[in-house]
Amino acid sequence: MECQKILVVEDSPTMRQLITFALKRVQNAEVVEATDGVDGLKRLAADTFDLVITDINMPIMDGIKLVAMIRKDPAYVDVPILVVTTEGAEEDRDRAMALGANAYMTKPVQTGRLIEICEQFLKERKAAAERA
Amino acid sequence: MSPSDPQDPSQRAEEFLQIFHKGAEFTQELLKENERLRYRLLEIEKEATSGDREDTLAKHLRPLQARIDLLENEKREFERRLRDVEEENLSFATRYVEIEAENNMLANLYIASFQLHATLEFSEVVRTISEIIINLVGAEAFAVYLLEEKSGALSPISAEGLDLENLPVVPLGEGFLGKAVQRQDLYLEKDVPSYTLNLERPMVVIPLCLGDRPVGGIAVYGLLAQKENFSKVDFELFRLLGGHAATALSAARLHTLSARKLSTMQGFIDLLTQK
Amino acid sequence: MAKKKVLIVEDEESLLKLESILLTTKGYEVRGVANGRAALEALEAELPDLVLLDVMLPEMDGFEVCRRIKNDPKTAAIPVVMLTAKKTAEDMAKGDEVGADRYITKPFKSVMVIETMEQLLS
Repeated sequence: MECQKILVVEDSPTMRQLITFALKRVQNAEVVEATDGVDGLKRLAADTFDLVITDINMPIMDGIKLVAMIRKDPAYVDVPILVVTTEGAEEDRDRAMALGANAYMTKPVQTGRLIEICEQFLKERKAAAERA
Repeated sequence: MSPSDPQDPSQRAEEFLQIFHKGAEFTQELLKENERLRYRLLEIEKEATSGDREDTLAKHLRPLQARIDLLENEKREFERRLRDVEEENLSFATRYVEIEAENNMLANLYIASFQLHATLEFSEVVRTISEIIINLVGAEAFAVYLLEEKSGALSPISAEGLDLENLPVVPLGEGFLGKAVQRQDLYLEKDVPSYTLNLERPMVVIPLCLGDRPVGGIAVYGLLAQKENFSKVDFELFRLLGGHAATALSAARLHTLSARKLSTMQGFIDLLTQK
Repeated sequence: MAKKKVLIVEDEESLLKLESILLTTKGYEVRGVANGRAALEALEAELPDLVLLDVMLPEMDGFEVCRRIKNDPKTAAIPVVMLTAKKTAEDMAKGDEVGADRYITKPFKSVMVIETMEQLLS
């Protein structure tokens, strides 16, 4: 069975660990970690990903800029992007969604909900690939 | 008088006779019909009162009635089982939600503990504590205080969402912070929605204790906007921090001291052996 | 009262557009450029009330742009706010060197920009 790849972009090691740990429950999914926007773009270029989970407040390149950069890349123009962040204001959410994020979760996260959303995105992505 | 004369008496007699005959015939027929009908009526009455007809009907109805009863029983049975299944389903769903929440909590606690003990670098332990409080609890303003043995006061060593310089040094046993740490009692604000930032009165005080010895405290002064109240996870995280953060900080401090001692001794030895 | 003019320097196009719209809805007159050279050119043409300058830019980096703005007597008085992904001591030291007036973390909150503007322009 093919494995789907998830990229987790998050500068806090604790949060990165928590997300990776939670995603162990997702079937046939492999997690790759990145520490900031620039590192994230590097990973995206080096492999093919089916889902990107990103924080917003990160050094070097923030998550909002990362979302904009991902959508600019023809290879990733429709990859599902889930934003996980401390920023709960409508302005922040609107900005992320306007730039192309598909979903937005605030911290502290409910790992059960995170898993649900990821499974849904991966399922849709698999179905779309099979239809193509 | 002529034969065609309508007034001819013999003619009229003839006509009268004919009419009488016809009448008689008609009456005869009526009588016969009457006889027939009476006979038929008797027959039908006999049929109706005799058990035959009832028996036939009953014979047909009884099995049908029995079938209806059987089906109704089955239906009731199914309804009962459906109710049981629905109840079971509901209890499974409730249990699932409980287990999921517990799973989420355990994941948080596991990762927090894992990270705290993953390093002996003091600055990294402090950073991990901050990460736990920001990401896992969801606080926006907080500070970590360490108890200084010599002065017996809690000194702020790290702050988030606040300026470190604005934070007071708190003697053990004084103020909200000092008292809670001395008593080694976790303090939690009861009315979270109406709390406003107050350096004299934190929302949460987590005493950091090594066994029964206080070594410091974490004070939370404000939560992220989307966090409305504390939950079970938070209580458990505070308890975990109370013990594990203290251990991790102490271990790191000892490590730094011994590393320093080691490098001092090494330096000394190098100095001596340089000749 | 005339609207305050803001010059935003941000190399990512969609982000620049979004930021411009955001600040326009807050009542500012916004001009956006994608790199340092274009920023300096824009300053030749018109003086804004504030410059929002991304630290990471292609070709001429944000700090260099700030240095040039502050070294030019025509533009030296304009407040320059550096936009940085995380406020590191490094960034702030470099910024101080070139004369930056403030640092705001990216992505900026419109409230932060408004407050900073009020502080710098009063």
